[in-house]
Amino acid sequence: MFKLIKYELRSTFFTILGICIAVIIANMILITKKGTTDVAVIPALSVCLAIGAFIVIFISSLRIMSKYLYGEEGYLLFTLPQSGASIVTSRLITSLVQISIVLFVSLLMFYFTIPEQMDLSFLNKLKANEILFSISGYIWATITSLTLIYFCMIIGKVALKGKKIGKIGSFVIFIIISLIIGWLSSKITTLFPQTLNLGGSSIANNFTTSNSGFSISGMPLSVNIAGTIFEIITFAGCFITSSFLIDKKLDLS
Amino acid sequence: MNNILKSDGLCKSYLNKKALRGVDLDIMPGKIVGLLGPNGSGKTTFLKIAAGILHASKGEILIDGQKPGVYTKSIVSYLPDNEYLLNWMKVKDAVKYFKDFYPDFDEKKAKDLLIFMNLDEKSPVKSLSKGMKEKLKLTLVLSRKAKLYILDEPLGGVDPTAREKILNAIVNNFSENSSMIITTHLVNDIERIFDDVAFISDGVIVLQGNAEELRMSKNKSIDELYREVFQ
Repeated sequence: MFKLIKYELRSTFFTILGICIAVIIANMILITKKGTTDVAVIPALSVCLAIGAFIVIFISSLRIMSKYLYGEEGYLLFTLPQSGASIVTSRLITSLVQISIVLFVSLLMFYFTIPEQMDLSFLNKLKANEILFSISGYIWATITSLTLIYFCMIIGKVALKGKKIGKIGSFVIFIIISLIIGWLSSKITTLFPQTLNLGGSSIANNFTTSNSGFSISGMPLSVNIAGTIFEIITFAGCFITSSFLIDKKLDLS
Repeated sequence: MNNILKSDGLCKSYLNKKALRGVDLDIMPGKIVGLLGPNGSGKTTFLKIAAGILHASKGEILIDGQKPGVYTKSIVSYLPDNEYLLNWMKVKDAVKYFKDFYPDFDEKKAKDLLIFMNLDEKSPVKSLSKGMKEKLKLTLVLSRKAKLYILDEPLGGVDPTAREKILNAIVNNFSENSSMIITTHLVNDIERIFDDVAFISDGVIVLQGNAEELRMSKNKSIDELYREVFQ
C-alpha cells in the first residue's frame, strides 16, 4: 500500500507543485499591495485564494479516481496484486497529503498577508489539545468526505456501466446519499444530544445540538456521541463497500 | 497435472449484449494457447475476466485453482491492448514500478529485453511511438516469472520487422513452467508458436485442440483453418 501512495504522490507531484507556486506568487502580489488598500482586503483575498486552491486540489484528487475507473490507467492499477481496501486507503491518504500540503502553503502565505496592526495574540492562548482537536477534525472531515465521494463514484461505475451516465449517476447518488446522511445525522443528534467533553473526558447533555459529530457546541472540545458513532459507521460502511465493489464487482471498460 | 486456467460455462452479459455464452477452456502448464476469433467474438472479454478486471455474470474461472483476485493477479502477467502506462513515467520508471509491485519481476531480464527491443531507459513513455510502447509493455510483462501470461493482441499496431522481434522475445522468454494465452488477428504471423488453439465465435468456443493435430487432421495451416471457420 505504501508503494501505491509513493507512486500516487509522484504522479500528482507537478499538480501539487503548480498549485503551490500559483498560491505563493498570487499571495506575494497581494503582499506588495499591503498598505495601498483597506487592511482587511488583502487577507480576505488571500483566504479566497486558499479556498480556490483547496477546491482545485480536491477536484484534482477526484479526477484521479475517475481516471482509474474510466480511463486506461485503471488497467495498471487494478491488475496489481493489491486489495480493494489497499487501493481505497492509498487514494485517501494521497488525497489527504496533497490537500494538506496545499492548505499548509495557503495558510502560511495568508499569515504573511496579515497586517501588523491586526491582533493575533489569541493564537498564543490556543492549547495543545485544542490544536490537536482541530487537526483531527480536519483529517476526519477530509477522509470521510473523500470516502463518501469515492464510494458514490464506484457505485456509479458498477451500477451504470457507461462513462457519461456513470459519472452523472455518481453525482446524483452523491447528492441523494448526502441528503440522507445529513437528515439522519440531524435526527440522531437531536434524539441523543449527549456530548463527550474531550477536554475533561466527561459526558454531558448538550441541547444546542449540531449536525456534525465533531463540533465545538457550547462547551470546548466536545463531540456529540451519537453523531460521531453515526459518522464512524457511515465511514466504515462506505469504505468496506467500496473495497468490496473494487474486489468483486468493478468492471473496467 | 493441474490446469493453470480452467473455465466452466463462463458467461458475461452487458445490458443488452452477451459477450460470453458459456466458455469452457482449460490451459495446462507449459502451453502457449492461441485464442482466435474475429472482432467482437469475446476474446478480450475472456482475457479481462482472467486478468481480474471484469467479473463473470455466470460460470466459473479458476487460475491456479483460485478465483480471480489478489493472488491470481500476483501470478498472472497481463498485457492489455491499450496504453495503460502512466504519462509521467520514463521507461526506467515503468521498470521500477513493476519491480516494486511484482515480487516475480526480474530487473536484469527487463534491462536485457530493453536492449533487445532498442528501448532507451531515459525515454519518456509519452514520447514513444505505438510500436515502441507495445515493445515496452511486452518487456515489462515478459520480465515477470509469472505462472500465466495473458497477451491481448501483442502484435497490434507494430510493423512486420517489429513483429518478428516481439515473437522472438515471446519465444525466448517463455519458460516451460509457465503458460501463455495469446489473442491475435495476425494468425499467420504467430501460429508457429502455438501449442494449442481455441477458436471463439459469438462468445462460444467453436473449435479447440492441439495446433499440430489440427493442422494434420484438417490438412490446413491454423491461418487457413481460421479463415474457414470464420468465413
